Amino acid sequence: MTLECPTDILTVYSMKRLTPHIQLATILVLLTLALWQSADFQQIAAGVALFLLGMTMLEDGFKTMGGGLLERLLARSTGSLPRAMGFGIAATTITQSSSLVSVIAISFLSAGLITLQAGIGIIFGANLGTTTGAWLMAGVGLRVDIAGYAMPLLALGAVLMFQRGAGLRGAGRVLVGIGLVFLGIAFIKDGFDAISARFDLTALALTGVLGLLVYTLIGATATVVMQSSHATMLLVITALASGQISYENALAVAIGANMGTTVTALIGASQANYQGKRLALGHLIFNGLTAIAALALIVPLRVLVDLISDLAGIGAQDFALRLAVFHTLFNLLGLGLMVPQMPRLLRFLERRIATPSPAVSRPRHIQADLGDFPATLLQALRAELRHLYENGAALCAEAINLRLADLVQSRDLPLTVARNREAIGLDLDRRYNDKVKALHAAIIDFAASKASLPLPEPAVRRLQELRDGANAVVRAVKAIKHLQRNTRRFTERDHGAVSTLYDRLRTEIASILVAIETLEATDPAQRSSLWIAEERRALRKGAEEVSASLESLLRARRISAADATSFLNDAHNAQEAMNALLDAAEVLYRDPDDILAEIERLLTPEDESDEQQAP
Amino acid sequence: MAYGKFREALDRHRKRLNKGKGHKIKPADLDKMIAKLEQRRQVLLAEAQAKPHKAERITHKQAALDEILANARSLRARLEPAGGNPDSGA
Repeated sequence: MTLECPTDILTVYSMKRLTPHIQLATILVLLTLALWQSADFQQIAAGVALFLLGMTMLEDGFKTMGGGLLERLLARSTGSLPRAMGFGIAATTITQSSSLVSVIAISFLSAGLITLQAGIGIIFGANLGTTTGAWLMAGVGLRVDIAGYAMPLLALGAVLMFQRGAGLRGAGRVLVGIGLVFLGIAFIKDGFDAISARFDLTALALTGVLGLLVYTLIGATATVVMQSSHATMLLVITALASGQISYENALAVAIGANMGTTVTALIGASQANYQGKRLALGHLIFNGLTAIAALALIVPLRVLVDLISDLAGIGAQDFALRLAVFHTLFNLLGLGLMVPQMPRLLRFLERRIATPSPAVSRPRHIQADLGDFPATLLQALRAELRHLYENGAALCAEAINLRLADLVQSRDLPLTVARNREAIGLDLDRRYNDKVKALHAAIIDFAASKASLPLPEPAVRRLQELRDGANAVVRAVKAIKHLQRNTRRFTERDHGAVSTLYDRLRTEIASILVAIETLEATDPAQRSSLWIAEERRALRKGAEEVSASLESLLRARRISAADATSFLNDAHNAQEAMNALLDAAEVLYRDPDDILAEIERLLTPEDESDEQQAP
Repeated sequence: MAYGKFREALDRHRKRLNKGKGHKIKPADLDKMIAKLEQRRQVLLAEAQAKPHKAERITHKQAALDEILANARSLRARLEPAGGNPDSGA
């Protein structure tokens, strides 16, 4: 369609805005009509609603109760593909929420805390872990009067939910969640039992390829609408147990449910960075190929399911359990197909969605889809602060005709500084705008938006600290800017004693930059933000020595009063820049353990920076 | 840091604790930090020997580290008096 006039553009724009409202209104009207028409449908719909509410409570409960446990475990599960997959299977089996595990994986990947391979491994594992839900529903949910267990769970959970401690509150939500899920299953079961007494929905069964395709589509659509493959599986297992859907069609619905989950992931990834988009595409490819393979191999798969079921002693008419076997088997088939192709998949994803390398620095780690997990938010923000620091430090070095990479590799800093006198073509204002300003604004904006979340006190404190760290980087760059002109003037050509003084100043700045890079390269378990206090002390002593040198040069009339005044101003700016760099580093290298961080704050000498004086 | 300022920092920490904010520091936590500081001291000593041209700068760093270490030990002593019974923690 070509847009001829502004009216067309406005119409398309209005349609885009209205579409979600129209969709919602249609769903509500259809639902109301169905609820009005059938009391049995009311029962099933209420069951689905309770089930979905229970799943949400369960997810929230695990988030609150875990206190970052899932995130800490995930951070350790990135060493290899089997470990990442193991984490995906275990976490999804325990929480019964592949979406929670996927969201955490996307958050960590977007924050640059895990590799793409680990992220995909977790998603693969979560796909297999989610099949345990079908086993629980078919094996326990339909056999036991679980509504009887729901009541005490709801009562106990409600008491715990209103306690002060986060652990107890979370446990309460988990219990209430399980209670609601049980209640939902019981409602759905009763609804289908009632329908069975009056209707035979198997009359709608379709056989052959058409049946496979139609019911796969139904499974995918139901999962997209309910945003839960568990809910789709619950409905199909219950319908199967009540004889309201044919076994063949139920298999297709299970395949469709797997496909439906990728739509949720794709919607989530639309706000993610390039890594999140790669993960969502990987998820889509995995589930898509698994579904195609399962549909193509449906006959041998069915034979295999029967064989395994017979061996496991599952009754010939127990189609609900046989469906659970099928669900696990075709997900295993997907893993068998995709795991050997992992290197190829990674290459494809990295080629298809390229790493952006813009001239203007954009946030790499803080993204809209990070969720509200305190540990993830803080780690992402810390990584972004390091990104900002790297840009700021490179700029500070180049402003005084030095390159950070040369300094880090140098064995004799004063010599490296003395040899690097040529001007580096640097438009400081432009570089500041491109590499620092936008990134700084993004960090401040992110910190402000997350400050409104109900975070624990140590997380709030850390959030403020990281924001202050970003401000410190900007302070450092602005202070360096003031000494750029004179530093270049006195270093690009030799001006005798005053050039030597400026070289000492450049060496001091270089020492600070190198010290911070050394901290970055040190094993986090061995380093402490307290090392920054050492640098501050050395900086103060160095400034005193430069001050003494300046005085003796003035007395010996080897330096003019005008040059001495310029140097004094520049030395003051240099001190400000170095202190700001150290302020940022102090925040960056704060111990990740809350208690050790608290000790570091207590032991950080407050007077070091206060006592620092320009020479 | 001057001992007075360290005491002020400690008072502020206690006030935050009384308001239910922050973390209670246990002797084992401080032991971990003291071990880290002592290890750092060894690193600086080795660096001073290996890089004599940096000796002066390293001496200043060692002085700052020694003060931090002294304050850490003082805090450790407050948490667990000579009798060996830890008090209520910092």
